[in-house]
Amino acid sequence: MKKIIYFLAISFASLLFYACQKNFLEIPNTTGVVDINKVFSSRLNAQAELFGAYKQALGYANNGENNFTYSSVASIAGERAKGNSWHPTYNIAAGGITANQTIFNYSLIYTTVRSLWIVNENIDKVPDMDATLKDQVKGETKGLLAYMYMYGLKAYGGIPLVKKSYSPSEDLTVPRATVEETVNYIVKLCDEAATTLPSTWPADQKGRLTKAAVLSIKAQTLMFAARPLFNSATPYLSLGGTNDKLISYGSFSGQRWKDAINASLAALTEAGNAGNSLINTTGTANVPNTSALADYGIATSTPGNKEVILASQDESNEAARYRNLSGYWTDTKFNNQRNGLLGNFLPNYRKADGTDQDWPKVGDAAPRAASDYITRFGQMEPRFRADFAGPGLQAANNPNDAKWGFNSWGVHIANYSGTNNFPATNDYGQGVAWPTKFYYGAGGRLWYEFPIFRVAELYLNLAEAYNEDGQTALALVNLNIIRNRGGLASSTETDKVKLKALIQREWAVEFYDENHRFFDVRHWRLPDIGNGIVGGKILEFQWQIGSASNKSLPSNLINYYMSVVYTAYWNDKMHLEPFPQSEVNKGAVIQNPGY
Amino acid sequence: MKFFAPLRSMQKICSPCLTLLATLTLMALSVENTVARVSSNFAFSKFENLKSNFPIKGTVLDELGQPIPGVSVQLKGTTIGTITDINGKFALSVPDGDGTLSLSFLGYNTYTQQINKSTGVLTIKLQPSTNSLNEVVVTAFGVQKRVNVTGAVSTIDSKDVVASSVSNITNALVGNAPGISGLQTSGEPGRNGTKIYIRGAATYANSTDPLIVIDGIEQPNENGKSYDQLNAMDANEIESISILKDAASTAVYGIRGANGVIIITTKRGVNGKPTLSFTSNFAATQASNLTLSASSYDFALTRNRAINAYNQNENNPGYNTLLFTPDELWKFQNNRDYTPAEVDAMTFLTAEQKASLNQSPALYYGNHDYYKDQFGDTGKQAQYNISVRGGNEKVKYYTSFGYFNQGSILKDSHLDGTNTGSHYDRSNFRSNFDIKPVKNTTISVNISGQFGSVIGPSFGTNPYDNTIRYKQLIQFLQEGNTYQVPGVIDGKLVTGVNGANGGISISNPLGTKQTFNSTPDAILLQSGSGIYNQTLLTTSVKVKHDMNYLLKGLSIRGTANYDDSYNKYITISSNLPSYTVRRNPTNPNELQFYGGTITPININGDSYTGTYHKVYFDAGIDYETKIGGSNITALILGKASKFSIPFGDAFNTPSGIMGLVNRVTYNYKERYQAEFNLGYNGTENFAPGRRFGFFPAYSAGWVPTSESFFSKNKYVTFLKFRGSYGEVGNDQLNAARYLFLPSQFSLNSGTYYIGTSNGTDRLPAYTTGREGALGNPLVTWERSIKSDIGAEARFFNDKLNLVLDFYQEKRDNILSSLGTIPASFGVSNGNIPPVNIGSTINKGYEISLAWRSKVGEFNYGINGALSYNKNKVIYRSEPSNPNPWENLTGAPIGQYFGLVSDGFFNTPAELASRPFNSFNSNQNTLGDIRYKDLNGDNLINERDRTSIGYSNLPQFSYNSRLNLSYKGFDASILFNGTAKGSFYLPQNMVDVYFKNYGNLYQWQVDGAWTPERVASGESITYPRVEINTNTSNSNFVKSDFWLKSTDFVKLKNIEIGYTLKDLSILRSLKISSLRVYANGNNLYTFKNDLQKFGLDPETADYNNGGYGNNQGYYFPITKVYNFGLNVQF
Repeated sequence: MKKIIYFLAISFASLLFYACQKNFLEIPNTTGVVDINKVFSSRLNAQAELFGAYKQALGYANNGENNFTYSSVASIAGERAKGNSWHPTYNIAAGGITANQTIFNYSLIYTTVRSLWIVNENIDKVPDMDATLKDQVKGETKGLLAYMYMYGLKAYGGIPLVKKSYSPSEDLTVPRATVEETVNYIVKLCDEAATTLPSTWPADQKGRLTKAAVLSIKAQTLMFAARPLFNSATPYLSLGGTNDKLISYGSFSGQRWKDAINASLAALTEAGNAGNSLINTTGTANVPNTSALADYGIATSTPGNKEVILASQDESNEAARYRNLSGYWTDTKFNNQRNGLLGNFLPNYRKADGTDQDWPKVGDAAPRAASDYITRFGQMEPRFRADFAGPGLQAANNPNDAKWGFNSWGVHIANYSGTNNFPATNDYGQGVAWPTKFYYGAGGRLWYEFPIFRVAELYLNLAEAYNEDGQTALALVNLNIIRNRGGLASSTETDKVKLKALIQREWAVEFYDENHRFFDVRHWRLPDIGNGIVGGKILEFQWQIGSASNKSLPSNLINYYMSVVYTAYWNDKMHLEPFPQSEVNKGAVIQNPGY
Repeated sequence: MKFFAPLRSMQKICSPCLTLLATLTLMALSVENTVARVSSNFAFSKFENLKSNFPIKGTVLDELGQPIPGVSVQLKGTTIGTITDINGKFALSVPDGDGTLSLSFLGYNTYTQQINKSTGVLTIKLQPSTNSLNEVVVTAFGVQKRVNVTGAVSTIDSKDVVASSVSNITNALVGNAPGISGLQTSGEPGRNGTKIYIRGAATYANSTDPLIVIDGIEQPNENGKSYDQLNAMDANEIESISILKDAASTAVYGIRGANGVIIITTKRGVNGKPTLSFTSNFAATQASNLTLSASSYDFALTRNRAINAYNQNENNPGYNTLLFTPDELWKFQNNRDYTPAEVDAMTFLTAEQKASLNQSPALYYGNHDYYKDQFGDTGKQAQYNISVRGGNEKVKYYTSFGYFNQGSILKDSHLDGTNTGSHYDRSNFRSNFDIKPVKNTTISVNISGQFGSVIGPSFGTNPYDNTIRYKQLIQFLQEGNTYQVPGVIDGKLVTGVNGANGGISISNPLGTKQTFNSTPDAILLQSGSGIYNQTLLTTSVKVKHDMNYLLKGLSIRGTANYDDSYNKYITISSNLPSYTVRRNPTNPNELQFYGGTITPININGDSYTGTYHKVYFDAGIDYETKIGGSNITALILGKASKFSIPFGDAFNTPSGIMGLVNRVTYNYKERYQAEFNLGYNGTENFAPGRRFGFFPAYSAGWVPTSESFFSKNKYVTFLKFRGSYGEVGNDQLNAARYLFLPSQFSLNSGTYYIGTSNGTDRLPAYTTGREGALGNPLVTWERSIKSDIGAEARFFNDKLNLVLDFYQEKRDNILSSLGTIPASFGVSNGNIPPVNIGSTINKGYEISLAWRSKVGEFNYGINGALSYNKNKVIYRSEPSNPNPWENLTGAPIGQYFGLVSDGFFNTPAELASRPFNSFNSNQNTLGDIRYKDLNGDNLINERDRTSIGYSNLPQFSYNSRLNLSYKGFDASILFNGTAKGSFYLPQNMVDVYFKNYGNLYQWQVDGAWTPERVASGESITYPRVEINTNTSNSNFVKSDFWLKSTDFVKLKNIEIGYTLKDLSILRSLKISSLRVYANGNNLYTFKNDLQKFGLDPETADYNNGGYGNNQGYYFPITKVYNFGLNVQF
């Protein structure tokens, strides 16, 4: 009897148990959850995945380049002031870059790389996509991979080259490649991408990588390969033995400049085929452009203009905010403060007539009247006036728009004091002028498209590379194309060293706040980098104003002078970025020297 | 989902109504049943028809003479009966003096007493059945005699829970039993639960929350809902609380048993006539302690010093414009906006106006302690409970209605009808029925409802997101200062002052030395109101059927339960007009207000929905038999539950677990015990084929005092040794689900723009896709192997009671993610697939000692408990750190890491010989904290971070309770304390002059480093004060300097009561007893290193953060003073 009951009991229980399993331990259907097969089972899903990779690579706060909250690399490149105390650049300016305090996000390079490989490896599975488009998509992913690795190269030197998407069960160790291997791999990716990518996309697909874009990536990569930081027998600091190859070629080769010339020429040719060209409405050779302000303004600001080969088409307002560029007059003023143009950078700009401007200097005997500022501002070259406004001024890039007039500045755009403190420092951060770049004719539009490659870059590549290669005349031709477009007269400088300085100055002016200078000054190994360029004494104007509540009214401005506002940190280790300490601890990478 | 909205609101109205209806029906049925029986049974009707006019009163005492509450007293052969009150008293009216009373109580022999015609007052002493060992304990899926329990189970007296007068049951648990500890994250009404730990923590990767079981129903562990129902319970409903601590007692819960189990049992009906009990409490709550802001004058003096220090150290006069002049210092000191000289200079004023202005309190140079303003209110608290308990052979019932209302310490300005306080309002309803339709079947129906409403300032969309909520509530206290213009002046909301940061003028003499951060009261007024309605309905039906007809001792049981929780957050924006204030430039005596636009109210009824449903079923077979001296019980039970969040669940499937419970217990004459428990559980989180696991536990006990060789004596009256060993598990990893599924992709993770631009309008937006979390098909449960050795002893005729437990727990296969995966893998940390890796060890002991006795009518008892718990990470996947002290492996769970401070730089020589500080580019000056260079590389950097202090959860916790009673008086006092715990003060709680204008605290003024104070040898507790601390100051790098001990001793609870009975006035009101009492909770802390920071030592450091951390936002924890009244009819 008992046995029967036990038996019954157990079989009853087991029966119940197994009967219920399906009901109680459900496995979800795929609603809301998508696996890789579903992603690549339709063209639309696959396209979403591809555009996701675009957003990661070119959008804001996704790739290493734009990974900062309310701050930009310009703030630690000697272009803009260091920002508010909660901006990451603030601490870097004060204490330098360390393994735990950097503006770049190393791991975001690889999450993007993984997304790109996933598309690249799976696009063939998509049933409703034709073979040509699949090849083009593969080309796009390779081009974007090249772009990510180029970023890594500029920032870190040789980096781990991940050449597929790994599965978690594989050996995940990927050591750092040498600089040479990294450059070669990027070039290879670009070459492969260029064979399949179209010169232009249909109008509704504009913004995707073109042949000219990948050739531009290749050109920039080879420029950085040729510049002195890598292209040198001795690295900037030693890692010891063969590890030096992770941060330098270990030898100088003039061929690298020739490669850069060829790549830039190829890119320029292709850009021409695709309809991309420098915007210069009035200029001909060696004649200054008379509508330089508008032309340069359009080239840097107008979405989809012909000079832009590739842009970050992330048109969200956040993208602008992240780079401290959003609506000066209304939006997140709080965060946009203290990012003004530095006095250190100011001398790069000329007067419209090509001569240097006489701005106040530290140590002047007396402050100057505010009207002097307004006068001198007006004398400046068009690109300056397109890129900046100042207290008492209507922004020249939006001349008839009240929102861009001094009455509407919601933020304080000058370091001011109600009392005459000359020569003391009142405040820091508002700089010598206030950046308005990327908003030429924008009116009330907050969003913008950050230009990643403009045709102008290819000309300056050529100017720099020809000069290094000893072809001064060709260098001058290319330099003057940019100068003329900017409204300046041609230069006739033939001394290689002096010309080099002129070309570097042109890079600075033409590409202000376009994420170039941070890398350029490092890779040029400028001797004064720690003494006024990135590090050292930081200069800004100080203002004495009257008591009116609007600090920007011309009538309220009394006088101004230059002062040292803070000292920015520089150490030679900062030529390249540190890898995150956790990566070093994991044994994944060899740390760059000095960190 | 708009379509369902009306449906849901209907459900909201209907469900409580239906519940009520059901209860009333059942009650009516029970009455009907009684009546029916009356007519069918002549013998009963004989009594019923007679007038009940013979009063009997009595007191029921236990073997030690202590009163026993809850004893069922019944006139034999009738339904006339009652239960004893909290003092063991009962009063009954019987038809005549011939009857026999029968008194019964679990664990005691039933006592019968012939009614004595002459006295009518009885004192009855119950004797424990068999011996003194018949106390019973609620364990998993059953009840066991205490003597036969072989696992580690503590119980908490429900009386102590009621006495703590706090709104949350979890808060009442801490300090009342060994092995249970907790930390509280907030003191805000409705959000002030305690995070409970049973025997400390044993996992670093996952939740340490215990499993909560209420009346046999497992509460969901998913999505942090485990405390929901428990915290919303009315303490008066609770009959008993058991804490299951070792594997023997929790193994049957298998995959959810690793962190221990708390079993709550609610009151049920008893035989006897209905007893109505009414309890009412009124209480006041206050912040247990608040940090004190420095006065404006001290603020100004100290900021001048800080600016001068900056000027000198950085050679930068940048902040000199903020220096206060001597005149201004005078103004701060005297609470005036103008010096007499300045007033004199105002030639446009009449002499009268000048005199008035000289007496006018400052608008700009005022002094307000906004911390105290915001949190200094006294919150009112009220609680009512009414319950009916009774029953007969057929139906037993217990019904309770409770109402609880808690106001807050948060300032309520009542400006224009606004309500900025925090309130918690809760109604509870519970009805437990045990119906015996036929002799061998019992149907138990439990219906309960909890209807809570948490009302407070609305910050953030998730009412439980403390991070956002308390940041907005508290940051303005830290970032503002004491001379900020108040947020309410003349009944107007002020959100600005004339020319903040502007030029100096009569209407704003402070000029740029002032900022206008919103004042805390303005923030509260502008935040609007958030109303979070929480409803939880529970219905369960249990059936027990004895199958003695088939086999003696065999019975079957089954449970079906449905929990339904629907929550809704409604936010109502503030429409208060806001003003800018200034002094009238032509007559500064007058204040002028500008602005005052009224904004429309905006009501958002869909801010947050936290709805969930849960169904639970079990079915099982019990068998018990007796063969000679051997008692054997066996249980096999299957259970399954489904938990679903209908809205916002990515998987659209309920999350389920199911399991089999198997238990065999054996005891031989209650002398030798052995028990085998087995949980066989499955969870959705693991792949089919890997879902189910066996969790066995073995335990045994021996009672030497029951042995024949043990001679009975009065010194050692009871001895028991027990031990257990077993395995339990955990299947939860950060509330993630289906850990085994392959990598998931999202097709909607943002927008990118593609197309040809016209230069003005945005391009077409395309949704973008991205890879999400990666799965691991091999993942399985985290395993916990627990062992426990315990002893229980009683001495001196059971007066002294000792319980001792030593335990050890090993966790392995810890569900976590690898810390060694290189970034080049390209998967972000949150998406790395989970693995079973890592192990920990957790061990400790618990001692509890109790003495109870009496002298004459004076009863007293004293007990104390000490728990010690220590854990260590044996292995954890982490990068190989260059120095051993950097490793988390080997350190306790939750260990703090940071630099080691070594005093201050007091002399230039000390400063000159310092190692390079990489945290601040080596810009140290005198008065900075000096750190130890652990690896001797003459560099202070991350390499010098080591374990500092302890973890936030203390290693030692102890408590002691004293109970006294004399005649009608009773008193109890509870002390508790902990040792070896730490709390980290994040930068925003301790730095000065945030953005130049932030708050300064008195303790900073008192403790700051100055050369003078160093020279005079004073104790220095704060580094130099310098403005702009962010740049050049390494004093806030995470270090042991800001790690404070949480060691404390508290007078946790006092209760004093007096019971009135036998008074004719009471009798005439049909009151059988009346008790008035006063109690207080969290009353006084004797030792608290966190006192000056305004923190209670039991505050949870919910962010073990540090440098750059912004998490120092704590809503103060409160103390309660309570007065109450209990009436029994």
